[in-house]
Amino acid sequence: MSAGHEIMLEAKMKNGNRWYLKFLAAIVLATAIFGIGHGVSQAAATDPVVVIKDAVDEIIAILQDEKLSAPARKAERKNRVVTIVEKKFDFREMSMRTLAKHWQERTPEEQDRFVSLFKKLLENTYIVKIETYSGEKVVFKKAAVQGNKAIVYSDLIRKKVETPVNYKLKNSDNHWMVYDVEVEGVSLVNNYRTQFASILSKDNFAGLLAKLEEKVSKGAVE
Amino acid sequence: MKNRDSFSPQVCRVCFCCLAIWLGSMTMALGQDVAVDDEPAFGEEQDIGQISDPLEPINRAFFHFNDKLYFWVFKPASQGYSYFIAEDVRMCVRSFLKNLLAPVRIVNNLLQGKVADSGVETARFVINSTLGIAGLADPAKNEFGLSPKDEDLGQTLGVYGLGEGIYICWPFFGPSNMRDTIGLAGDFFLSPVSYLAMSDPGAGVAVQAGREVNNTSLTLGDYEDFKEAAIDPYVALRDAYRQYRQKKIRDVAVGNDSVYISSFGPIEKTYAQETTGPVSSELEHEPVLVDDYFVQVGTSFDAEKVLLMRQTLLAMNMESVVMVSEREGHNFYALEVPAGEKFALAKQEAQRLCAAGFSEARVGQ
Repeated sequence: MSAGHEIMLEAKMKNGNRWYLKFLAAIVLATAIFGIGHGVSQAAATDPVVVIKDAVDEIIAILQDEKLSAPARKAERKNRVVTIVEKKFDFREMSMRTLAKHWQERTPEEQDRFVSLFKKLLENTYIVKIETYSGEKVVFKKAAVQGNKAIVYSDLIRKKVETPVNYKLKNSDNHWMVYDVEVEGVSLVNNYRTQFASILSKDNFAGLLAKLEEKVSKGAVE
Repeated sequence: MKNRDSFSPQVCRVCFCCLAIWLGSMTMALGQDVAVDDEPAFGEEQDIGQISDPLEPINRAFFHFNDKLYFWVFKPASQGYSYFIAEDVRMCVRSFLKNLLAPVRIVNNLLQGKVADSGVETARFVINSTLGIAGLADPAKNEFGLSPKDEDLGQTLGVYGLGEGIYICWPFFGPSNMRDTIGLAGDFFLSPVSYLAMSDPGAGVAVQAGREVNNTSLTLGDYEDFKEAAIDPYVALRDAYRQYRQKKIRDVAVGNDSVYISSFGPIEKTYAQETTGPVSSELEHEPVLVDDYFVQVGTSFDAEKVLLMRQTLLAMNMESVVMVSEREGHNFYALEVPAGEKFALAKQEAQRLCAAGFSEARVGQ
């Protein structure tokens, strides 16, 4: 590994100046430890990568738990996954974004109804799919943070193929919540927005709700 | 006369090199401009506008045709095929066929001015065709860390500013648009399978169908999932295709290499990363002892924080040398540890850093 050697070389060079390092270290020690104690704990609490990674780890742990995979405990297992997802995904924000300009035109009741249906739809289609987990790996790469928005880049590795999965998060009240997921460059929110816009161009809002309801009830039966 | 004959190919070659370099510099310059004002509010999707789909009735008909084709033909065929052929073999077939299409990627990288990426694809082709036994394996990526640079003519045309035109859902081929259809036709001449098809149409069709069956067998269930999540599967697929293609084109137009490609070198061993346990900070395996260790940690932290850590580490542990370097936008934390007694310490350090939120920890030589 050439990069490793580069580092080694530089490190060895530094090694020669040990007296200097000792001197530097003595000064740094006093100031840095205090600073780091602060900086690290704060960063760990708000690093969006950790937010996502912890959730993914928790979910995978549940899926790997053999006690929970018994048929009798299937509902419990699903509920536990849903609970984790609910803590990290902002379904209201997602609904708002998928409806875009149509969101403002709706009454609060209609909005609530839509949020609960949309959430149910995502639960039925995606969370149930999580159950088919068969040893896929998730590798987290990096996060980009700007203001109260963040993107966490990850790869889902399945049968030697890497699928990029990016989570977009928004920070409100010091909590990072996911508002969109991009798989292979395709944004979930945008995809639904296009579909809803297409339906709303031909039908009214009640029609859209009816379609959602139909979809959700069909998914629940399966 | 003779002189002239040898002269003109040389002129062509020089011109081509100039063109390539010029295009390269142009893309880079373009990238810098675009990155600033084209980047929308952070994390927000660019509005990719309305799709032009005047052929919607016909497209919908072909969408249903393809849908049935999948459920009635390709899915059962793939299921039967995967019953007889082991998954490893099918993955080899997939990578063999992908390797055959290297000319498409090499040429289009060049056409987009991505001279280095074109080189990467060429190297991949050479390595995988030889060491990888005609492309059955992918040692270029696994051993040399060369990730594929997926480009095609549709993307190249997009980079040059050609719009997507109307949406077309082709029977058999699936979603496309005017631009990508032209691209597909152009790339046809760079695919060895096409030349097979020209000399023996039956064999060409067989290879295409076989490829479809093989690849489907590895992604069975994906289409079903996609369809189930959609309210209007036709619109969902149309939009997904557009987003996917625009993303692929924009990665270039913004001047970045694909953001998805990891900039880490080949990974010796990754600890604390491949989520198998509930605790994000646990190291999983006991590494093998060699002469010297590096604990390298890639991080999403900014450089100052890493530097601060380094200084503390220096203060705590004078014998081992700590380095912080930045490479391709990633911060690395490296700890050189002599074999033996210091090893436990290195492991502890890595654990501590992982607990603090570092995204990766690895030990390399």
